Parts: sequence; C-alpha cells; structure tokens
Amino acid sequence: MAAQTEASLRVLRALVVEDEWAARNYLVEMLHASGQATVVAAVATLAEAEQALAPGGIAVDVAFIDIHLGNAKGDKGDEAGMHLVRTLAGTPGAPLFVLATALSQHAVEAYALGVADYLLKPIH
Amino acid sequence: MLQTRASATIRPPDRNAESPWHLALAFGAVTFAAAAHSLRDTHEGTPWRHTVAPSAVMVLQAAILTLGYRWLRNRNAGRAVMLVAGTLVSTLFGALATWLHADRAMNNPRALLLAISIGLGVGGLWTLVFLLPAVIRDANLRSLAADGVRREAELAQLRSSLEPHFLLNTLHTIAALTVDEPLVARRLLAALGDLLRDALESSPEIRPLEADIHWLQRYAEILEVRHRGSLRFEWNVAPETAAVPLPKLLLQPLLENAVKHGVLCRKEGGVVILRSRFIDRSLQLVVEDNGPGISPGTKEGLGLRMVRQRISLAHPGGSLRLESSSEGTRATIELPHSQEAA
Repeated sequence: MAAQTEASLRVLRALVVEDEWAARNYLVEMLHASGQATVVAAVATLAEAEQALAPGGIAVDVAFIDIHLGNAKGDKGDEAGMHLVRTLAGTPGAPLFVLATALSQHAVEAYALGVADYLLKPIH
Repeated sequence: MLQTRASATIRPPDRNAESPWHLALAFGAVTFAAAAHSLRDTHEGTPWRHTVAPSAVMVLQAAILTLGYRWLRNRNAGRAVMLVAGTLVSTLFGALATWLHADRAMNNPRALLLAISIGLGVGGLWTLVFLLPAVIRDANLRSLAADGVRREAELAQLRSSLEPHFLLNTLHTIAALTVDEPLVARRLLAALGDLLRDALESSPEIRPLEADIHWLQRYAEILEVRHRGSLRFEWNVAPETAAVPLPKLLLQPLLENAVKHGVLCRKEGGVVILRSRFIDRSLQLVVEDNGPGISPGTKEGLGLRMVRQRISLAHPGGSLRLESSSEGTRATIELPHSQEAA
C-alpha cells in the first residue's frame, strides 16, 4: 500500500493542450511511454484548457501547451498558449508549464515566466 | 508609341514633381526670347502680331496638348483618340499661328498647307520633348511595380509552403503518424516534397490554372490530414478553365484565409470549396468557406492586398470581391477572358 502511494506521487498528472489531433496523440503517447506522467486530460482549444485549469477544474501537476491554437477565434490563435501561460504563471495552484511549438521566438519570454521547459517540434 | 493606358492603374507617386508643365514653361521662355530677338529686326506691319503672337500660339499649343493629354489619360482614352485629338489641336493652332502672322496666307492653299505642317511639326516636337520622356517614365515605373509585386508574391509563396510553422508542424504530424498510420505519413511526405520542389525551383510567374490547382490540392491534402474531422475541401474546376494562364499561386492566400479564419474558427469544423468556371466572357474563381465570417472592422490583411495588386497588374479590369455573413465567407475573382494573355 505504501509503495503504491509512493509510485503515484512520482507520476505526474499531465494536461495536454494541442489543436491538431495527430500532434496531440503523439504527445500523449510519448508521455505514457516515459512512465513519468499520466495524461489526465488532452484538449484541443484555449477555452477547454482554461476550463480545465480554472479553480475547481482538473487536478494537474504539469500542462503541456501548444502555443498556436488554430481554433481560437481570429489572430488570437497565433499565440493562444502564451496567453494562457501569461495569465496563469505564478498564480496559486498553477501547475508546471511546458510549451511546445515550431519556433524558438517565444522562448525568452516563456523562461522569464518560469516555464519548466520549451519543446521544439518535431518533438522526439 | 508606347502603351499609355496602363498608367491609370499604376500611377507614378511623384507625377507632379517632374511633369511636362515645367518643360512647357521652359519651352515657352525660349520661344519668347527668340521672338523678342526677331522683333528688333522687324520693319513693317504690327511687329507683335507677326512675331510674338505666333510664338505665343505655339506655346499655347504645347500647353493645350499637355493639358489634353493628361485629361485623356485620366479618362483611360485609347491611343487612337489621343492621336486624333493631338493632330486636330496641332492643325488648328498651325492655322491660327499663320493667320496671326499674315491674313492673306489663309487665301493661299500652299501657305495654309505650310501652316498646318508647322502646327503638326510643333505637335511632333512636343511629343518628342515632353510626352515621350513622361511615357517612358510611366512605363518604367509600371514595370518596377510589377517586379516588386512579383518578388513579394514569391516571398509569400515561400512563406506559405516553406513557412516555418507550416513546415515544422507538418513534419511533426508526419512523425506522429509513422507508427499508427505509416501510409498516410508516406503520402504527406510526398505532398510536402511537391510543395518544397515548387518553392525551390524557379517557375514562371504566369502559369496555367491547373498547375496552381495541383499545388493547392497538395497543400489542402496536408491540411486535411492535420485537421482530420474538422476540415474538408471540395474542388469544382470546370475542365475548360484548366489552361487559363494565371499569376502563380494567386489563390493561395484565399485558401489559407478560408482555412485559418473560416473553417478552423468554427467549432464543428467545415468545408472549403474552390470553384472555377467561365461566365459570359469572364473567368470566375471562387473560394468559399462555411466558417463564422469576417468580424466587422477587421482590416484586410497582406494576403488579400497582394491578390488585389497582382490582379490589377496582370489583368486590368479584373476584380476581387469578398462577401461575408455568419454563415461563411466567399471570395470571388473575376477576370476578363480577353485579357488573360496579358
């Protein structure tokens, strides 16, 4: 019983935010394969992510977030993930953030906001 | 003479800075100086009427020609109209100058002929000295503008196919698919390869519609896989339009907008329809989506501005029209068929 608790403490509860289905499944697959995280939710839109991370939402230790979320209305989608991190970073109860995107253009700001990592696609 | 009609579309930005007016004034000053000089040697009659007045008439002729040319150009008059009007004005002024010089010349057919020749001569001189440089400058500016737009279009094309986000996200998708859907991954690699080849090889600026459709279908294939379940394309290309020459990737920004700002902004996803057909003597190209429409007050982006510019350069008389409602957006390009070889 004690060993099980210890194991579940080590496994992080992860949220995946990615608008493209293949990329989303890919990240979920990789997280499962790592054995260090269990994906508690994988969502496609900014709205769903905000809902999941809101107080009373899902208990999450780490959130993997795609910066570009194509299904956010208008040009807001181009950096919806950054918007999410800017809003939530440093707030009480906020999880660790890991950003995933094609280019490094937001990396400096991301690390300044205290993200745990900044992954470049294609991720491996 | 050079084609001048096009100057109505692309106007030199500093048209007044170096207009024929300055030259006309200089011409007038020289003529008056010559007239004043000859005045000293005149012995009989009313000197001003014999010398200064005909010179003034010539200057007036140059001024009227300049004014008339601009007036006609701003109304897109053809070369024939300009030529007839110029000849008429020159003939009249030639006769007027001769009549001022000596009344009796009007009764002498040979003298009148000479007068008209002088008028036409002044008109010809005006064309050489004032009109030709202006027309050449216009033509140069126009070709510079065309070059600029072409370069921008090439850059935009590179941006769309080799655009880093598009390229890297597509590679990411392919990496994701290799385990569970290797055949789809293979198809995407082939499609991406086609787009890269087209971007890396230099191809002509004007090419048949079917070459563009082929490119767009590869581009669409990639997007359809990446947004499976929420994005679908329909192609409705009339076979007789396949060979129509068009500026390369003219439709790409319309397709990109329909996906990015249309279908992908719709919760349930949707469809992008591309249509081409002939209506009367016009080629009609339509890109339509069933997204949420353009929000009021949205500024027109670089993509659309460039589509407009390219149409106005390659197809004078062509147009791009946008219609949008909460049911979707439709972009319609219409090109007069008779001018498509331009």
